[in-house]
Amino acid sequence: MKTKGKIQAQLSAYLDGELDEAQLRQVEEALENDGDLRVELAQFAATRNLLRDLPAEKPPVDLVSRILTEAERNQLVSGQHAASASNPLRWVRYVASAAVLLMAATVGMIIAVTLCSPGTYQEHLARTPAPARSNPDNDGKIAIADGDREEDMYIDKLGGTSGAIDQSRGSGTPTGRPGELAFDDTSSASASGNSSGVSGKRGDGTSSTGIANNVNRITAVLAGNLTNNEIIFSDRLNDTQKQIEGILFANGIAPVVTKKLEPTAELAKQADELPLARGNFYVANRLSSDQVQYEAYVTPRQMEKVQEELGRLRAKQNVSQDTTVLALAKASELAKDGGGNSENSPHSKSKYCYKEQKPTTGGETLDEARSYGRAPATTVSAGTESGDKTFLPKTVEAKARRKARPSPRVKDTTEGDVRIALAEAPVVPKAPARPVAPAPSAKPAISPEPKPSAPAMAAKTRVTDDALAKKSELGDSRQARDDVGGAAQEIAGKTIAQQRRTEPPPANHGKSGNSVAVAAIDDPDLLGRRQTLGSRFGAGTDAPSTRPVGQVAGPVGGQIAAGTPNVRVTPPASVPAAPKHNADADKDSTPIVQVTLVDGKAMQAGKKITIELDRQGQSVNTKWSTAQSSETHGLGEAKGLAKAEKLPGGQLVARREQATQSARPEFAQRGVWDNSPAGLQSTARVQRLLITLNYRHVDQANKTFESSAARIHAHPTSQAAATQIERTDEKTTQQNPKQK
Amino acid sequence: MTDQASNSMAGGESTGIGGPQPKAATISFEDAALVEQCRQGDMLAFGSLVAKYQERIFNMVFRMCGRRADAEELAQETFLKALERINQFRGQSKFYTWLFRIAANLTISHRRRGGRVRFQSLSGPEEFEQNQADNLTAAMARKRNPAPEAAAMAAEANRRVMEALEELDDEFRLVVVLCDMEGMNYAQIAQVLNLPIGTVKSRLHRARCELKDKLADLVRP
Repeated sequence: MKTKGKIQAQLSAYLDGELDEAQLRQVEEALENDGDLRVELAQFAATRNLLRDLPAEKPPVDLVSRILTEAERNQLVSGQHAASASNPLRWVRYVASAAVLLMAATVGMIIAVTLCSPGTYQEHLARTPAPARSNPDNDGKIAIADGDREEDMYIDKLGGTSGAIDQSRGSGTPTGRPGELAFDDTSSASASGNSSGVSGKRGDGTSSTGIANNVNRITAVLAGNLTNNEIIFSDRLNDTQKQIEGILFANGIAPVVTKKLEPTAELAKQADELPLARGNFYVANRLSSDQVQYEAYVTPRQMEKVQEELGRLRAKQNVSQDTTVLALAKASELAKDGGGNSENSPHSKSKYCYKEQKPTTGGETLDEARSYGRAPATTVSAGTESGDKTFLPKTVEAKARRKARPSPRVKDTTEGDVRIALAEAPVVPKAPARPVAPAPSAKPAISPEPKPSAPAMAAKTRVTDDALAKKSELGDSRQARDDVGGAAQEIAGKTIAQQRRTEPPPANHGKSGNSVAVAAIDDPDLLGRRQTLGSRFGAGTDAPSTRPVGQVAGPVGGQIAAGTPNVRVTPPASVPAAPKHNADADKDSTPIVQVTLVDGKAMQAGKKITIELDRQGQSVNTKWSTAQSSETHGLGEAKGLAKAEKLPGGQLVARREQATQSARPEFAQRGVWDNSPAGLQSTARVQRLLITLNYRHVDQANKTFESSAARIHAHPTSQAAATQIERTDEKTTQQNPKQK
Repeated sequence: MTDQASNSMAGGESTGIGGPQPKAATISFEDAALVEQCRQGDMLAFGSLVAKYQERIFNMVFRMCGRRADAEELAQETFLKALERINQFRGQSKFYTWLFRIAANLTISHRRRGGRVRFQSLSGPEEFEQNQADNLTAAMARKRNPAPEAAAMAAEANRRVMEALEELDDEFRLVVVLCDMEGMNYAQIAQVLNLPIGTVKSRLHRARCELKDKLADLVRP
C-alpha cells in the first residue's frame, strides 16, 4: 500500500512528463498491474483537459495603448525614465543633488555660526533637551543633522504614526514596522529581490542620502514649498473619496480620465506634453488598498478654495489636523521613503474608477436649467465654515479668528450642508420701479465692472445639522423639512432684512414676468462667513407669502462675475418664456427661499432635497429628488461651473465658447473648463496639489496626532515652522483681499 | 500585435492554453534585444513586449483573480512594474518568466487584500463591453452551432471548472494555472514562484487531487 501511495503521488508528474527514468519505469509498471491507478490517471488527465479547455480570455483591445500611455504619463509626471542608467540627463540629477546638499550644509553652517555666537549656544543648550544621536536603534527616532550638530533638527520619526497607518490598512493588523511605508503591493517587489515600495525606493531614511533628503524635504516644508500636500484621514474611505471629488468638481477641476476622454488618449498625451495644459484637472491614483491620492493641477484660486474646503472636510472627519504636524509628518514619510519620491511614484499607481459624468444638472445643462428657471441664477462661492473649532487646523483656526463674525447658523455641527438660495419670483410691484440696473442688452452679459447696490439675491450658505442629516437619511422628511425651515427662516430673515435696509428696488420693478437683474452683495458680514449671495429679481414686494405650496421660483437670468467686491446688476434683454408655474408667480410677490440639502451622505446616495420657503420662512414646497449616484458629479459640476463664472470679465464664457470649437469638445460639452494651453495661460499659473486620502480610524488618528503634535511642537524648529506657515497664510490673505 | 511579436509567438515560444512546452529557460534573442532597447528608453520596444505577452499575462491574472476588471488593472500594473525595474532584469531567466513572477506577486498581493480593492473599469460600465461582445459572439455561435445543447453543457462545465479553481488556495491555484493553462514545466514554475521543484510537484498533485474530487462527475471515466 505504501508503494501504491507513492505511485499515486507520482501520477501527476507522470502525466506532465516530469519523471526521471527510474520513476517512469516504476510508475508504468504499477499502471500495468493496477486498474485503480489507471482510473486515477485517467481522472487526472480529464481534470487537466478540463482546465485546458477553458476558453482563453481576450485582453481588452486597448490594453497596450493604455499601458503605454500610462507609462509615458508616469515618465512625464515623475520626470524620471525607467531606463535611468542610460538617461543622458542623469548627471543633472547628480549635480542637483550635490547642489542641494551644498545648500543644506551651508544652511547648517549658518545656523551653527549663529548658535555658536557667544552665550547663545550655551543658552540654547540649556533650553533644549539633548536630542538623541542619529541611531537607527534609537526607538524610532532619528536626528537630522548636517554634520556633527544634531540639534539643528530633531524630529520624531513618527514611528507611531506610521504604525498607526499600518494598523488601519486592510485587516487592521499592525505591522509594527515603524518607519516603513505600508503599501500592500510591496510584496510583489520581493519577486525581483528588491523590496521597493510605491516609488521603488524604500529605505529607512537613516542612510546618508536619506538624511540628506530629509534635510532637503524638511527644509522645503519649512519654506512652505510643500504646503500643497493635503492629507486627509477617514474611516469612511468611499464617502470621503466622493466628497473630495465633489470638492474638486465644485472648483472646476475635472478628472482627466473619463470615458469621454478615453477615445482621445492622444489629447491626454498632448496635455502631458505641455505643462500648462495640465491645469484644472486631476488624476486619482490608488496607492494602496486604502490610500488614494489625487494629483491635481490647479490655478492659485482653485488651490486656495480646495484647501479651504478640504479643511472643512477634515473637520467633518473630526480628526485633529495640525498643519505643522501634517507637513512634518509628510516630510518624514517622504524621508522614510529613502529619498524616493513617493508622491511622484507613478508606477505603482492604478487608475481609480470614475463614474461617467453626465454633462447635465439633473438631465439638462446648467445653462438649460437656468434658462428654464430650474437652477439658481448664481452660486458664487462655497462656504467653508468649519464645524467644531476644536478640531480645526491651526491655520484654519487662525483664519477663523480673523474672520470671526456672528454666524446665522442654527447649529454648528458638522454633518450635512444646507445651501440656501433666495430668489424672488417676478411680481407686480406696488411701487414704481427705480432703475438701478443697466438697460437690458441683447443677451445676458457679465458686467466688466461691478456696481454697488442692487436688489439682490440668491443666498447660498451652509447650515450644518447632524440631526437633520440623520433624519434625512432615515427618510424623516417632515422633521428634516422643519429643521431646514427653521435654519432657513433665520438666515432668510437676516438676509432679507439686510436687503431691505440696503438695497433699492430692482431695475425692472413693476414689469411683470421679467426677471432681469442678477446681483451679488459682497456683504462683509455674510461673505465673511462664506455665505454667498446672488439672486434673480423680478419685481418684488415685501408682502407676506401667499404662494401656494408647490410653486417654485421663476426663471433666472443673467450671470454674475466672480471676484466682484460689490453688487452687480446684469439685466438680460431677453428672458426665456416663463414656465407654466410662473403664471402664478406673477401674481405673487413672495420671494422664495430655496434650500437645498446636500450633505455628504445624501450626495452619496444621490439624494437631493430642495425646500422652498417664503419670505416668512414658511415652507411652501419640498422636493425630494433621488438621482443616480453619477449625478453627484453633475451636481459638483454645476457648482464648479457656477464657481468658475466668478472669473472676471466673463473669461470663462469666452473660453467655453472657444473650447467648444477647440480640440477638447468634451470639456466644452460638459462645461467644466477650458484647459487648453491658451485658456490656461490666460488664466493663471498652474500649481500642483496632492491630496492623499488615508483610511484610518479617526480616534486613532486623533491620538496619534495629539502625541505627535506634542512631540513635534516641543522642538523649537517646529515652532519656527509653525511661524513660517502662519506667515505664509497671512501673506496669502494679504494677496487676496477678498478673503478678508 | 507587432510582427516581431507575432514571429516570436509563431516560433513556439509563446503558447496559449495547452500549447507546446516552452524551450530552455534562457532569454530569447528577440526578447533580449527588445529589453535592451527598452532600457535605452525605446517605448516602441516596450510596446512590442507588452503586445507579445499581454495575452498570457492577462489570462494568467484573470484565472487567478476571476474578475476581468481586476485582471486588466493587474496586467497593466505588471507591465508598468516591469518597465520600472527593467534594469534589474539580468537576462538569467526568460523575460516572460520574470514577467510572470511580477504578475504572480501582484496577483497574490491583490488577493491577500481579500477583494476589498476592486478596480473599476475606466472604459465604461464594468465588463459591459466585454459582456456585450461575448454575448454577441455567443449569439452568433448559437446560430451556427448545430448542437446548442452541447454548447450549453460545455459552458456549464467551464463554469464548474472555474468555480472549482476559485475554491483552491492561492498557492495551489497558481501552480495549476501556470502548469495546465500556461503550459509551463515544473522548472519554470519553480523559477517563477521561487520554489523548489519538489514543492511545485507536490502542490500540483494536491491541487489536481482537489480539483478531481470537486469535479468528480465531470472527470468520471
